[in-house]
Amino acid sequence: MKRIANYKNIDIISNSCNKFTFFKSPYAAHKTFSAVDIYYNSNIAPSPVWGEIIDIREYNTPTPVKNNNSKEYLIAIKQGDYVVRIMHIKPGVEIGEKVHVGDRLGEFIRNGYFCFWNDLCMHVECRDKNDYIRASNNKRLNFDIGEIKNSMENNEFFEGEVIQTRKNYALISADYATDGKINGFAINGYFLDGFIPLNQDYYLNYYGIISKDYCSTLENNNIEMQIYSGNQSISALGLAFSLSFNIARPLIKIIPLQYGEYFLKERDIIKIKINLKW
Amino acid sequence: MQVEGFEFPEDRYYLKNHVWLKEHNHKIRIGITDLGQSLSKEIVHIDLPEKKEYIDSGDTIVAYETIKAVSQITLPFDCKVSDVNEVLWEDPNKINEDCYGEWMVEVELAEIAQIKDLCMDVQSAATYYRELIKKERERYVGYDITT
Repeated sequence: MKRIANYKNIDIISNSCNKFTFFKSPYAAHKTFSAVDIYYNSNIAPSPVWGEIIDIREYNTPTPVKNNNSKEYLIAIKQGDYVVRIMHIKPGVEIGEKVHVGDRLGEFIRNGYFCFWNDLCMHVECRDKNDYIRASNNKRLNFDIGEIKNSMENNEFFEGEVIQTRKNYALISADYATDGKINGFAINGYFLDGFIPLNQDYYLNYYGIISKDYCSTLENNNIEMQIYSGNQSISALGLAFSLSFNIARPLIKIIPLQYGEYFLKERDIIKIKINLKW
Repeated sequence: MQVEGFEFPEDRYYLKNHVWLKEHNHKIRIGITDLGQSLSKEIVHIDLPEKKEYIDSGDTIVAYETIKAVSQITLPFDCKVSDVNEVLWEDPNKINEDCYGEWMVEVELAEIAQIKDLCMDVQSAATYYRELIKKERERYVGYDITT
């Protein structure tokens, strides 16, 4: 178990095999560096914090399909003067229960907050104990990022191999950067984190850069990107980057223009050129 | 008029940010569309402007929050706030219950006729939103949210 981030004395803890992301979501807390999404290789969601369950709410998620409601849950865990609010889990706990790190909170769910390329994850953020319902007023997390080594520079190629293709994305294994504790893909000394659309006009973009001393969300015009399979430029919706602890190899997701489009095959060699204009 | 099941009444104008505008006693009432409220289920907080406040084109006039998202409304014209729907302070979720009945803010414009040039009529709005929904649905053909 390792600490991903903290707010004051609240440590957010995860299994060291998991990947995590601070920016891979368009929602409010991710834009203020106040939330982390943690990905588990299991349907069972363990608690990332200790504390007392003080609230559980069920609500509907956004949908562009009329009357196609999907359920979301908010689990509020109190620790001192603060509340850790957790989403994307169908609760298996009850109000009043005390939980320790690693205790089962419930099962992961997917709903209207998820794009087709998102894996099951839990959303974690810290709030004042009397103000944990609305989207804003979240607390900025401290990230444990050190000096990043093996970073690429602008216009260098990330070169890797397709190791898995699925209906919702292809996974690329390539040389990655590390700060000794956390691995990821880095450019100009910053880890890349989040979803970067290939087409700068695409309305969704939610990604950022993070280093020992600095983090920022970025806009589409802050980055130029090309993807090649062999020498052929390929179309895709975009790339998704996440971070992982140093025992796990980070992978790059290439997301097809639409779900189910198999546009790459295993062992294809992929080259990705990124120019960070920031 | 219906667009993919979402209602777009013919008696008002629309913007691309899920906002409707309707003339009311020589002023303009503003709210969010049926599609807009469906993309912002369970509104739990709203920030409305002060009455008599001047709002510049492109500046935020209203901000509303669900449990996970913050949305801001901007308008393509300068205006003065003449009234706000104070019922929403207590229960902003009324917008989800009746998005065309519950307006958010009422404004005065120097020239009310300009909304015809700056906003979409229902036909244009229907075309725009139909295309928007279609494009996103095409990306998700075959995708089962439960898997």
